[in-house]
Amino acid sequence: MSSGPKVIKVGRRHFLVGVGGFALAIPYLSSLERVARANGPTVPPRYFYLGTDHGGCWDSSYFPQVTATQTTTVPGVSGHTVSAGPLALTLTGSTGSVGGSQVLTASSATLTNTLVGKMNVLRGLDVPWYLAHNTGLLGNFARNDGNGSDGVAVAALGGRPTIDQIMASSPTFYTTANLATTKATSVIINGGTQPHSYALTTPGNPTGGVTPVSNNLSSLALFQSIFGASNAPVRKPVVDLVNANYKSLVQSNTRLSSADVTRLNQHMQMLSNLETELTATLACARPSTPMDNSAYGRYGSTPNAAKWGQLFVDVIALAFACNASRVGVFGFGDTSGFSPGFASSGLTDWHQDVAHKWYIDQPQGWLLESYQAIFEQVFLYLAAQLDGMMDAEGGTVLDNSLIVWGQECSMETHSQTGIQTVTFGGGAGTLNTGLYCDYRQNGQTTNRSQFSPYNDAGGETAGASASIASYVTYPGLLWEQWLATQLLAMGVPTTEWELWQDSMGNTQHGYGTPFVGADQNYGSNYAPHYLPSTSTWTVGASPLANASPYFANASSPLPFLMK
Amino acid sequence: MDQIRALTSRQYLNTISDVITAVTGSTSTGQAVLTDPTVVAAKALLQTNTPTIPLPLVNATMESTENAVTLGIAFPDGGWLRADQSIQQSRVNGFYYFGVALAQVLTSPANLASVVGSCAIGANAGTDTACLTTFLDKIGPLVLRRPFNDVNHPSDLATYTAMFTLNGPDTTQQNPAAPAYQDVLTGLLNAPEFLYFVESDPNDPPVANLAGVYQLSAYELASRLSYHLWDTMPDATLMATAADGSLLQPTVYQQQVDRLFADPRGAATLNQFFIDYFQTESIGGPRGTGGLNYHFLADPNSLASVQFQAFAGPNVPDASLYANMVSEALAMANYFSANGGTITDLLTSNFSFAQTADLAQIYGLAPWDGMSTPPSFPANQRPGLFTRALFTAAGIDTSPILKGVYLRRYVLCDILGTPPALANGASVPLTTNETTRDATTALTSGVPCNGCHTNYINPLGFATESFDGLGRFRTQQNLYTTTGAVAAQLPINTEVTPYVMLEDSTTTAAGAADVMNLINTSQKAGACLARNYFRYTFARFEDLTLDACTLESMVTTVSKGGQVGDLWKSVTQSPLFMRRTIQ
Repeated sequence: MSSGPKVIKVGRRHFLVGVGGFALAIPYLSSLERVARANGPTVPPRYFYLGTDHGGCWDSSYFPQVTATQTTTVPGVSGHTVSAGPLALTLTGSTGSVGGSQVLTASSATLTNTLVGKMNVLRGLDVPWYLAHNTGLLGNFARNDGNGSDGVAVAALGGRPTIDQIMASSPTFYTTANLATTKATSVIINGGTQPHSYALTTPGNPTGGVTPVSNNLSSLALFQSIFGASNAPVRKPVVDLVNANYKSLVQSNTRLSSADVTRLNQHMQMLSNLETELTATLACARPSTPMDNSAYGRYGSTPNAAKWGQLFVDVIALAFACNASRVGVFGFGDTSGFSPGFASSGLTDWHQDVAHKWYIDQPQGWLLESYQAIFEQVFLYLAAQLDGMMDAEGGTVLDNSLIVWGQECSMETHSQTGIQTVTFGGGAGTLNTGLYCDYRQNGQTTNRSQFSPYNDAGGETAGASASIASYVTYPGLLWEQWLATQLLAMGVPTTEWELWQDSMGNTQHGYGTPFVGADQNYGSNYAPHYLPSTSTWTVGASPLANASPYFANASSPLPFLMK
Repeated sequence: MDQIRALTSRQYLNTISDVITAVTGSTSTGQAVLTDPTVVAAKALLQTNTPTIPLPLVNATMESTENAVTLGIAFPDGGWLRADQSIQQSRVNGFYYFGVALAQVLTSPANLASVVGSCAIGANAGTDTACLTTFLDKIGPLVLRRPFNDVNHPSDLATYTAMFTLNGPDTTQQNPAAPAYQDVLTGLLNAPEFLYFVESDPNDPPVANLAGVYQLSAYELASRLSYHLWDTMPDATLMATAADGSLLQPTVYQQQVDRLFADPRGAATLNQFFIDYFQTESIGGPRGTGGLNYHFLADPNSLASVQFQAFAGPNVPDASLYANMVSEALAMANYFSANGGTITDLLTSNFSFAQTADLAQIYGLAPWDGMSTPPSFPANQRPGLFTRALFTAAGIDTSPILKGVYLRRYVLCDILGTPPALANGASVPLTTNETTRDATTALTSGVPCNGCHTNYINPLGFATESFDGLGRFRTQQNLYTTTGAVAAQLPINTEVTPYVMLEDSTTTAAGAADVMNLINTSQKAGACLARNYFRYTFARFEDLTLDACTLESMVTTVSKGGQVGDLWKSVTQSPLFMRRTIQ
């Protein structure tokens, strides 16, 4: 068993085993000061989110067995006690498992005690309405497929920028000094059919709608977009003169309306931002261009899917190491390529035949093997890379990052109650790690049986495995509070993201549109938990900011996590 | 009132293609450039537009802002690609990087001579100012859509010369001047006059008695015409009429309008209006009708259920069926636009435009070959556009409420209030003992729902209950058990009091045919179509006071048997189209 990540501390040099398998020396440029932060992260933190489709993995296979060593009560809520306990690595031969989890398991050469100590597993984080199919769990809940009335209702309330774009546009997250070495404020990878990241359509206008941030770049093109196409001397970009052209038009023309000027000024601001990125100086020597490219695709069983994912997270690792970017989002799409069982089954429709048959043993097995594979071969792979690089200010790059793997749905495809979430990284000193946190209100009488509500003429439960026939789970804490925790961990103050108000003009807390649903039995099972009987608000509508302690305290960090 | 607008992604790419063809003189060269791997890779960075509900204009008057907000609430579905004017960092970046890539390929050894000229080749080309000037004189007017470096724009040459000399020639390159020309081209392709419709010629004459209103110049008008009717830059013929000023003569102007409209590019652009108007690309179906949308088809619990299989019988849909329903509706709209059709045709025609076997089978007719006279439905069975499957199909069950809302809002342009919060969780149950009409009535007959549903929403939806959830004609509704057995067969009732005119509580209709005739005779559909075409043209909501004259002239063209083709052209004849308001 390895005693820790491969770390080479040589003065101020970063070493990383990069793409192509050779070490890259990245000299630290001492002239570039890092701004010490009085509160929050101690060094510029990095944030990464890996999103996979469907969910559907049984909780019993995903969550580790952990003995709670800490408990606390949820503020303002009688009888809601949450708990946390330390994660532990269990070895079976050369395989390590986190608390017996069948998903969070990998070769012990990679999944080490050190990395387990930098990990968190979170349970009991809910979207308490029928969100169903979506790519909205970074805070733009409106990005759902409208499968039910709840999703349609939330979409009608308007979109919100996602937390990665909040960070990307934050003057706190990216100071002026930071921008001098930033080649891209966010690196977005789209492997699925819908974007995960959304930015404000009109910067500075939170009610003016959102626009997706997406691209179809290959891993090589992504690398080149950050690090350039070659080591050849770069000619001065013409963007500055383009901007001057706009300025000249605005200043000299008397036939432009004030509305015209506003729009052109916005364009000029964007050009200025672009110029900043184009003229930014890498805080490292330019890494060698990768010799492989993701263009050959990701479907088909591993190792194709794994290699495809790794090529992209390699770029993320390089960008984080160089501080060329400190935000990354990887919308992976579905994990069918990681299931040899599915590949040899003769079936072709992962969505219909596997994800929506999560309650049957064989499809569950394929889901399980796909999630274990992506955990080990993409997510843990990235964590290990980041932990193999030292930041000059102290700690590894992983220590100064927060990387998150989340899924579209929880144990039941279409449901988002208790979304299975795993993280690595200490957020540059803001986060406690090595914990399993259970935020559910266990044992309460208002609960949701996994099988009770979702019936349809086809028989959602037909053929269900006996092993989950009587499974129940419980409501916990709001997903909005988890999103807020991530923002706080990255040092982004509430003033930059508590930008919306309820119908009475009170500031909404947490991040993401508050809602409690009525569709698919959410109204009877989860509403009483999140909206107590004394609430004056209607289930199926956006609650008032202080409708319950859950909503009122949603901007506070989740228990146990923040230092 | 007006705000400077940017090219849509469709307009941008069309223009890029036409500029390259014009500069190189070769369509094949243009194709080769656009398929170059460097350009293709950069194209991945371009952001596409999304249909957008027009937002109130920045710095607009309070009245016009309130108008836009009111109409945005009243017509909340879908949107217009042209109204997507968001200034996104990713969009600006995409334009810049694509311009860099395109310029790189255009100045590559294979293309430099044909794009710039042979004077750009050679060791001394980097300092050949005459070569640069000649190139700018050629390409400047094409890209900027106006004269280059004339008395009104005396700094053009200096601006782009500065880009040429920014880095200067690169003597390590095969053609040292190529990188300098690349910088110039990058600058041109990112110029405000290229990416935006800059209509601010200081010589534009003011309109008498209208403060802040100016007549567009010939060049500005040529641009407006071309981008409205073709979604691309003016061609050489149109530019020539701008250059000699003849475009400002009414007869010449009308000739150009007719020419552009008759061109295949005119039909393709008009088709885009219909795509926007019908909201065919929305996952929720046309403007929230529910539609046989992608999710329903992809959701195994809906499609694979025993109940649905029994209902669908031989017509189990796949993803292509929805696309074919869309194609049929577009084909119908385009057919009547091109062949002298009227509003009456759109509302009452019995022609089927289904060209694929699956939809034709649903209709019970032979497929149309696309050329001869379309086959006809039996009289009064399926009249007009809004009884077609695109607007009636919704899956295992119909959606009378959504169908009614659609007709009320987007065919009649009547304003409905916002549903109460309790409507969010409501759904019409599919039972084994009552029709969808009866279940809908039971759900919506109580207070406060009945205020809107009983008179203004449900009847319009009930009138087309003669079509099932796949758009098939029926006289009875089969209700199925969960095992697929027929539980009941109940007669369809399509008799309604439709309130086509909101105050008319007495006129009744036997079904879809009567309702479509009532809509036709009310003249509201033509007015509504004109309003929606106005929104498409100007990328904003109409102001019923300030835009009254324009709307009136548009509506007049289609009232009393006018051709819809004339409606599309009429907006170009409106003073609003030929002027600009600066506030």
